[in-house]
Amino acid sequence: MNNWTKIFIGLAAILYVFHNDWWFWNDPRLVLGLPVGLCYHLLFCFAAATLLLLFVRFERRSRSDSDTT
Amino acid sequence: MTLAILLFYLLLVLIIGSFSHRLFKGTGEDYFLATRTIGPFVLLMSLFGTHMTAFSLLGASGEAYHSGVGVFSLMASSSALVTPFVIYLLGPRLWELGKRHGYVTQIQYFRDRWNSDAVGILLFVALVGLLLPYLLIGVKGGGVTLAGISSGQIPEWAGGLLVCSVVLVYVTYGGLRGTAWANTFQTLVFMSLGVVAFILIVRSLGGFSQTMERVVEQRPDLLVRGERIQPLFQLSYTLIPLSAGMFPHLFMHWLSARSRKAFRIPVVFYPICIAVVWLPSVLMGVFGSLEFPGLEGPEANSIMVRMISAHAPEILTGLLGAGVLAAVMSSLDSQVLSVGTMFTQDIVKHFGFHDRMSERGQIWLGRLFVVLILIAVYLLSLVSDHSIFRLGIWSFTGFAALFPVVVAAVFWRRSTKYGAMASILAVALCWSYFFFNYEGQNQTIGDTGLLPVALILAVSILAMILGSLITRAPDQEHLLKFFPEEERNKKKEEGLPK
Repeated sequence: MNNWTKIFIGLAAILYVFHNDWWFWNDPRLVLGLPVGLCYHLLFCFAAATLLLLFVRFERRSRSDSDTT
Repeated sequence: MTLAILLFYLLLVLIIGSFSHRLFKGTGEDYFLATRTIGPFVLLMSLFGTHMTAFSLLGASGEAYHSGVGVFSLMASSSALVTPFVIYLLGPRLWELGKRHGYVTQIQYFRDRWNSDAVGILLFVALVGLLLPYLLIGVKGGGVTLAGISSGQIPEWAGGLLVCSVVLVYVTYGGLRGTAWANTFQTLVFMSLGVVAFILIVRSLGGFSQTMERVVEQRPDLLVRGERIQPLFQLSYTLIPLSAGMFPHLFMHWLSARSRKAFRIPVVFYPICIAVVWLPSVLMGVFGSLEFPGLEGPEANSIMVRMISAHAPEILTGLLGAGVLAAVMSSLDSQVLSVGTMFTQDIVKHFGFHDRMSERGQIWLGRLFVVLILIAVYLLSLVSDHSIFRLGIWSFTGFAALFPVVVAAVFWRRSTKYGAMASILAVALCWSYFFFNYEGQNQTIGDTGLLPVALILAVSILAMILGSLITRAPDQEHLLKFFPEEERNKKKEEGLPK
């Protein structure tokens, strides 16, 4: 397991903690037309996509570096 | 009109699946893995289409009907992080090993990794046993959809039979390439038509804001998780998507990739695809509770179909119903093919013919097993009256609890076959206990909100660690085959080319 994989696992673990949004549990407010809890989890999906994009890019760069050395 | 469109759609899927046969090379590897040529886009569509099933469309809207928008946080957003994470952590590594050593099924890998036939047999029984309820979801989902869309003109039994027949033809004829092509088409269909259906239905209800205001007035309980979904329930639910690491049908698609790079696009777009499919499904279930109140238990699985029938123009009803069918069939096909492949490769070929079976023989046997499995599942679907959502959860629970097996195989050099066997047996025993004692109830341990998956997973991890540490360490020479980086370093030290 290389360093990028370890960093990736660490960041994914942090994001995982934020999945448990107890603070919006009983909050019925509407934000952007959606219940706030649903809106939060919709944004969570995009945050996950961003994390994966960053990892894929950095891992590709580190892989091509190690291939050339 | 509606029926004609549905039948035309089924015919189109048949043609696409069968058209792939023109590229068929006549080899076992081509039938089972499309000669490992699948590129990033088709890989994304086939992985996503295979993963999303009647569970995510019919089951999610049915569950949202009862429990509200919290269903999205339970399954969708947790899957958006965990599933692509699992795919990227395991997929490229297993693809590399599969290509190097010629694996067609995951059991071949595990058997070879721990040099044990017993591990292979135990896994075979566990995986096929857990896939059965998952297959039932597809057949039942197809029946529910066709019965609902046709207002009962096609009874559920006939709908299930029709779906099985179409899948049977293109899977047996097109193999994995046919399945991947049909999946790509069907995933595009159910994603786009899902969004179209949602927009049309919301418009017919009077607009999004107005409909949401009605929910605020009439069913505010559906806008929060409240007492229905406890925090511990959601926390343990996030373990369910770990199942992606052990699904035989996803594993088979991983092996079919063209290269390591082919995994990059699928993992980045996976969370977005999940949001696109689940958001309309969940909201449709919540809005459906206003339009069709009083549905009990599994009856709510038909809420999406009811909403489509009630609010979409007749011409579009057939198209939108086709979208639901697409989600159902795009999973059923890969699952059936993976079970057929495992029977052929891991039982008949490995034990009966000791790897001497001809390519042609393997293909025909694979086809025969696909036929037998579909018949068995169809007959089972006629007598099963379980909720699609609950059936799915039990299946996913078992696969998620087996996750330590694949993690240990890929990352833990010290793991042994005894650890793997202990883990699989522990999962089988615990899963059976919970399934037979908790099915039909609220499925949490002692009403704490903790799902059985958390406990079974913990036992599975413990069994793997203890079973491995108290038995003899594996042979270092054998390990080099499975840890390419170590092998490369060793060759480097010896001054050999990489």
